[in-house]
Amino acid sequence: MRFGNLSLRQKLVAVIMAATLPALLLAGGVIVTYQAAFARRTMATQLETLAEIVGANCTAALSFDKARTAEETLAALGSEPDVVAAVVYRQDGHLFASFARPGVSVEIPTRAPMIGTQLGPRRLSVTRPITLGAETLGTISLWASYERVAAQRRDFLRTAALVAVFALGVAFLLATRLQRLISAPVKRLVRTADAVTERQDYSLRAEPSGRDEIGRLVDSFNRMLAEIEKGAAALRHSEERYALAARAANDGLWAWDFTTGRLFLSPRWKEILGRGPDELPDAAESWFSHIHPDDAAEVQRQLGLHLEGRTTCFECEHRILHQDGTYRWVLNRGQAVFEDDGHAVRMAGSMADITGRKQAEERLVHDALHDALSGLPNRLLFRDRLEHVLGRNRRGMVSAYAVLYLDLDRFKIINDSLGHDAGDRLLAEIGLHLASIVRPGDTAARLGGDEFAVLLEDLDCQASAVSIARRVLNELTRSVRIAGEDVHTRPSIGIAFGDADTNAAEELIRSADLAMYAAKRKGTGVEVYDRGMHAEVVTKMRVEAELHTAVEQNQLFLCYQPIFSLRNGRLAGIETLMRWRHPERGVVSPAQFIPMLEETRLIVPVTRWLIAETVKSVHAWGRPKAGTRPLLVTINVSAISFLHSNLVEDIESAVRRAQLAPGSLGIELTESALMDDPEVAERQLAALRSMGVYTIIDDFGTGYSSLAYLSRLPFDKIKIDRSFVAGMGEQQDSLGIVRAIVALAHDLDKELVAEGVETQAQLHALTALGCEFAQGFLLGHPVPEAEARDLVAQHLAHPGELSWP
Amino acid sequence: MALALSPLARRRCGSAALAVFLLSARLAATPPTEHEVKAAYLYNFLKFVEWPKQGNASATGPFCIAILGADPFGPVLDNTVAAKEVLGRRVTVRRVAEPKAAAGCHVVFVGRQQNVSTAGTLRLLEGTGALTVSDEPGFARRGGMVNFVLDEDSVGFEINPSAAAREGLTLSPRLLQLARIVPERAP
Repeated sequence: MRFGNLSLRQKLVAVIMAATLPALLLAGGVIVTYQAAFARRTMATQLETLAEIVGANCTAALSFDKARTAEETLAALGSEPDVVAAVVYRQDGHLFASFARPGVSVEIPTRAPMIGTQLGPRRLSVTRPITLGAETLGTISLWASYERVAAQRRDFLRTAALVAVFALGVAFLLATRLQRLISAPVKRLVRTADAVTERQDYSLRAEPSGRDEIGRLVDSFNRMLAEIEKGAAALRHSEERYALAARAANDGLWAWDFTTGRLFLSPRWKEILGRGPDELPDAAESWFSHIHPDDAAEVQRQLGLHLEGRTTCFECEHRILHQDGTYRWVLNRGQAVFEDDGHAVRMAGSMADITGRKQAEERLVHDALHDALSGLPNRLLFRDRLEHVLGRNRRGMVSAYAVLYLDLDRFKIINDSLGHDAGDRLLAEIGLHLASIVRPGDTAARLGGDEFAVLLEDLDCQASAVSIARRVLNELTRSVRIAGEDVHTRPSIGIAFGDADTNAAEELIRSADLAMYAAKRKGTGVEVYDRGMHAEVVTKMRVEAELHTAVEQNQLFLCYQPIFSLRNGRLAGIETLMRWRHPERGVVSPAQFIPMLEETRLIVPVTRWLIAETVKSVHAWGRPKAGTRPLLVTINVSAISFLHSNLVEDIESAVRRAQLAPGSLGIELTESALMDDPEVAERQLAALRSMGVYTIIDDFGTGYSSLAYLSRLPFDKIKIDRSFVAGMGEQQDSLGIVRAIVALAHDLDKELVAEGVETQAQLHALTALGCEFAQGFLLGHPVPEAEARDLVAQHLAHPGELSWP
Repeated sequence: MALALSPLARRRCGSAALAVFLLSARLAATPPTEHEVKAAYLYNFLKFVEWPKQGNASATGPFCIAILGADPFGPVLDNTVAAKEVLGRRVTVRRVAEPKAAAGCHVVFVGRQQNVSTAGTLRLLEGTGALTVSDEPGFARRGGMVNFVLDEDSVGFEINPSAAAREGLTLSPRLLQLARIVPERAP
């Protein structure tokens, strides 16, 4: 077994023993050697001392030559176990007396050896002089054997060996015990480390042990575990977060190992394809075989680009085959891991189901280009198609083309009376119908509101466009049943042809629009655009601009036309009429600018000004005498002002400020103003009446009044339209109408005012019919304020006189 | 003299060689005469006896050996001590006729005397602090200190330690070891 494979415990014991054994051997060897040397030296010293003593004891025997006595003395050395022989020599070197241990063979020199101590290999010999005082009597030699020393050494060696063995045993025991001081903490550490490895439990800790290196190692180990635990926890949290994020992102994950070719697909990935977690094998084929054939090349291309390192990220939207046979749109993203030499070793990514998004995108595109109500292309798409045709036309690639612009007459009334839902349904139906009428390849679109357009392409001639327009007109002029009501619809259609000069789609659309207005105005149904229409529009625009200036620069002013009582011929009232003093064209008639004011809604502030101006005049003219009926000064109020402005408040504040008597002020309204929104009209009329303001229905007989409804309204007088008055002389029809109106008014208990009276005949007829009041050039032209004031002053000064000429 | 020869020596020398060696040793050392031995003994006694420092025998100067009465040694003794020193002190020989003349001497050899008893001589020598030596048989028993005796063919001596102790002399045990110790017999 190699040393390196021994356990720490065994190593420590081995090391201790390896250190102990030589130490013991060295110590033992040194001690034994020293002991041997010491024993010999001691022996020599003892022998020398013995020689001295015995020698001294032999002095007398030598002196008196008593060899026997000397030998007796020497024989005493028999009690010295080491001494094997002893000889006394005379001074002359001759042997005098000797002793030899029986049984020991010793070579005794007959002549005295040299004085000294010989540590021979086998024997120790000592030769000392024998002296008495200063006199040397002879020498004594002693021989000793090492046997006893050797035996002693053997005993010593045996003992030393025993002690060494015992010491080794003790060392071994101590080593096996003491090594635990070192190995036990290490062992515990190893056990902890093994447990951590085995259970993957980083919350385990090694038992702390002391402050030595092992203690520090344990502390470091524990700190390392804590770090790992923290790191593992952080990693786990991070993984959980990623897993959660991945689940939340609802992405399918994939990981591709290029070395094994294995492509791992997460359960969610397979779920996107409608597959179970175990259904598809973990292979690239599972992915590629499901890609839509049209997308496969692009996916391969993007993958190739990324794997060649030419894109930082693989990203590709493609369709993938679902279990149910449909294709789903997915967004696939991934990133490869490259080795130093630049070739990819693996790749991972995610796949998100973006079918919903794709559909939403398509729907958004569709919605952006189509009208939600009718499903027809909207203005944007229509214009786009038109631009396209324009472009082709500029390149001389198309034959004649045209734009039909149509809207529904009176749609607003339908919408207002039947509700917006019904209006919407009507529009949807019209749209559907329109699309079915036009030729395939033509584009029918809804431009907004009740306005539709059709782009006609590849026309043989302009006449065919007109015939298509007529067909549309015929098809759409009919009754549609909406919300339980039969609704009669009729479009007006304008046609504009594109030509080489046509630059913009909008221009062509506007032209068709203008033609449509012309058709509507003329009531012809279909009109083809010509340049005159454009000029008309331009004029209108100029007038509109001028009107703004007129309002700002007080170019508008008032005229006053007297109204007389047909019963007594007296001045009964005054109608306030608005005039425009145009800086270039002179005074412009109301018929020329009032509609424009209404169209631009300038009428609202103008009406407010009119009220204030009138009230100011009335106030200036002075109050009537007590007990007399005040003159009624009337103002013409348009439908817009009547229905949509603060008319009542404006009148009320003006009247109150001027402290006008009740019955001094009246407003004239057209039938349409009352009929547009009957509820509001009724409320307004009641409010005006409560203020003592009269209401007169103007131009009576020209509108579509419902008589039943009219009878309910709280108005005061009816003004017979000038067209009827004018027709009374020649046409019996008019007379009949006037008579009917008078009868109707009287039935409703309303007074009548006839306007536009220009002849005596008309005057007599009206008087005869029982009409109460009249006005007209016959009776009095509209006059400026100064004249009106005089007229009123005259009237007030001379009551009872006929005022008209 | 017992001589134990090692096998090695025997091998080396052989019996013939040994014979030659022993012969030559004998020829080289002619055995000394009795008086030569006794003279040497007298001289040697100086080495193994301690005289008291405050005694009559001088503590300094040369050792003195007196021969009282007849001198059996002749020049032998003089030759023996000539040019020899004991403890760094020379040795002189004085021949005296009366015990008093031996005053200050360390050793007195009592030779044969006329008309004088040994006892009387010894009595006269009391207090001199000298070692009394004689070869007269029974000398030690009669109050003498050292008495030469012939022991087989060699010279030995008897010692009366009590007598020596009376004079304050200290005899070396090694000397006593060589001597035959005799008790003192009342005269």
